[in-house]
Amino acid sequence: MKLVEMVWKRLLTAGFAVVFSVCLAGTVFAEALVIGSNVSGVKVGTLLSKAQVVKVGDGQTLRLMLPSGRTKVIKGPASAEVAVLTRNQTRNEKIWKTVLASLKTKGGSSSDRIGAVRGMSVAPKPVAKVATLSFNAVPLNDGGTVCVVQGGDVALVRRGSGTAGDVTVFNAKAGTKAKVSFAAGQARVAWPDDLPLVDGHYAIIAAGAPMRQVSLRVLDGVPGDESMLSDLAERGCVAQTAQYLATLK
Amino acid sequence: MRKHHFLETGVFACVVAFLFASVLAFAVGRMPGQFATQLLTPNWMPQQIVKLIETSNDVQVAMVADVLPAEHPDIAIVLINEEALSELAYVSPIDRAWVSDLVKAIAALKPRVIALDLLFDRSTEPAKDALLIETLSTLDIPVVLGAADERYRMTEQARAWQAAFLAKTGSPVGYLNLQYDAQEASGDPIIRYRAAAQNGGLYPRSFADRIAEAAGHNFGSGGARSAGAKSDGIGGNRRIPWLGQPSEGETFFALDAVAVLEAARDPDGFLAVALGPQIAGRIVIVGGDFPGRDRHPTPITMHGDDDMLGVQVHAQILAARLDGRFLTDLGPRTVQAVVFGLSFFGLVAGILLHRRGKMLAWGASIATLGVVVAGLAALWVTREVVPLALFVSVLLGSVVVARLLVRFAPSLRL
Repeated sequence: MKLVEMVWKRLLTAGFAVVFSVCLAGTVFAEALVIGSNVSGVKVGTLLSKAQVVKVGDGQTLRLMLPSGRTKVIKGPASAEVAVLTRNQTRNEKIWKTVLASLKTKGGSSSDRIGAVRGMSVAPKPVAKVATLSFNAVPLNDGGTVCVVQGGDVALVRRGSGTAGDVTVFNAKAGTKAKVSFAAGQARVAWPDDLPLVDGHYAIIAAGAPMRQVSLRVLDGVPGDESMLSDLAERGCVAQTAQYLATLK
Repeated sequence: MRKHHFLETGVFACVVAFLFASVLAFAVGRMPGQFATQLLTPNWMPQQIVKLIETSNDVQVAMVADVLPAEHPDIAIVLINEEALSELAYVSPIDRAWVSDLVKAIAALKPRVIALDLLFDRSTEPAKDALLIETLSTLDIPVVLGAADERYRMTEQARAWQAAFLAKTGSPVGYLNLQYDAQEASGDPIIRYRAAAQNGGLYPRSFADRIAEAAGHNFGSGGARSAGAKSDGIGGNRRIPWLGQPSEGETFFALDAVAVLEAARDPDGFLAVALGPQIAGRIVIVGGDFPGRDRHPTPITMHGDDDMLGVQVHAQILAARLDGRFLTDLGPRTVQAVVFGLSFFGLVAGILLHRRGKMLAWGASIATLGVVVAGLAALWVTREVVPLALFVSVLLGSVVVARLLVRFAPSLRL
């Protein structure tokens, strides 16, 4: 009976060890994330393990997100040793979560691609669904968290030309508000001078439209290439993170 | 006294399990498929397990892929590659006079139908455009053309040009669109289903359906093949029953466009004599084979290096239509019933065996294995894809819930 019990305990321990190893592998191996690549066989979204060495050929470029969230661009000919690139870095979970979510194709299905060719050269890609990356546009229709640059001609932007009307922007915490007027056909109006552009939550109120909430994260300047992704993701500017990643694909 | 307590607890456990299982089965029935998978693959879960869960259905599809003893008897593919276009002045769009020559060369080999998996959405040289229209409209062999429908993003000018060009040929036209599904956890796209027609679109039938019709197969007014409702494209089931590669040869007989043109130059030559029997009476689909272009991930190419060419995807869909093969997902009612049963079993077992940890662990392991084996057996017999990850999660989740219930509800303790 004791023997059976001992065997059982060892089996159980071994089982836990296997499960634990798999779980650990999932976190430890995910050392660098490919966010841009024209290297054959290395797709955007691939997680590179610590042990991997990626050969980047002449004329090829590999753009990696490191555990810290910083971006590393490797231009060929070169070898990218993930262990070396990621040495002594701790993983910034917030950035990784945001970036991984942005890289995911949103669920559901679509039939907007065809299985045919026009010819040998590259067919025009479908028009990108993601808007262009900008640090001076506060979208009125979408809400969410937006990163803007202080002193960067920030403007309130609405989709479509629309009719003439007033929009009130209200900073709930500071208790300040300002009204801007859109002319018919006008899509962009400068951020009101009498409303300080500071971090915080803003309510956007327009007649005949549901209220939107926008959280602004004000940056001192446009982030550099290496820190662009981490700066956007860390501040929760999810839409802009996706827009930036789309430019790398 | 103890027996009485056991009975009392057992009845109470059954009532609790019945209520829990009913709620769970109802919820699963109402839950969109992608949401269910996302619930099963939370963000903290290791990538390896997520992959295992999300590919469990695709692996089943790959497992039941039919394998013919040799190449498909009714379909052949002519591939246009870089070499074929190497001497042309421009390569996109492909020189229409060259396409015209290729079509004539294929026609000389007496196929049943010629289908062009090419996009005609802009003009080239007017004389050559006109030449191709003339060739296509005067050929004595049925020709099928493809079009990108309203879902494909293109300029209105290109869309109008495409419609006008195709109309002038007088050939039947089917939409070339493919349905892409996001793999729920990784987000990578994959082709699992045939694309449905765009509601009110200009092209109500798919390219493959148009080819089958031109070859004499009648799908009836609703697009359904009379041979069986399960192969119906209208009734919701559009899963593609893929053909695996035979042990010898390719899934579809494929040859280069250059070879066909060579054969046409010398109709009595060796090449023409050799190719004649391979092409005669077959449906020939012409498509492109260029590096990195028009290649699509599918369940049967998941673990290989090469994705499937667009022309091969259309050929797969056509082959299934011609052969009357089908592959469905387990019906929602059956899924609900199984979820109810597994959840009920897991909860009752978890409550009644809460003092016998080892027995419960063994029972859960054996039951999990049983679910997987039964699921695969069902797949084999009924050709219905079973949501194994969901079933196993429900079973094990119910056992865990039972353990928690016992901890917080003393009346459930034996």
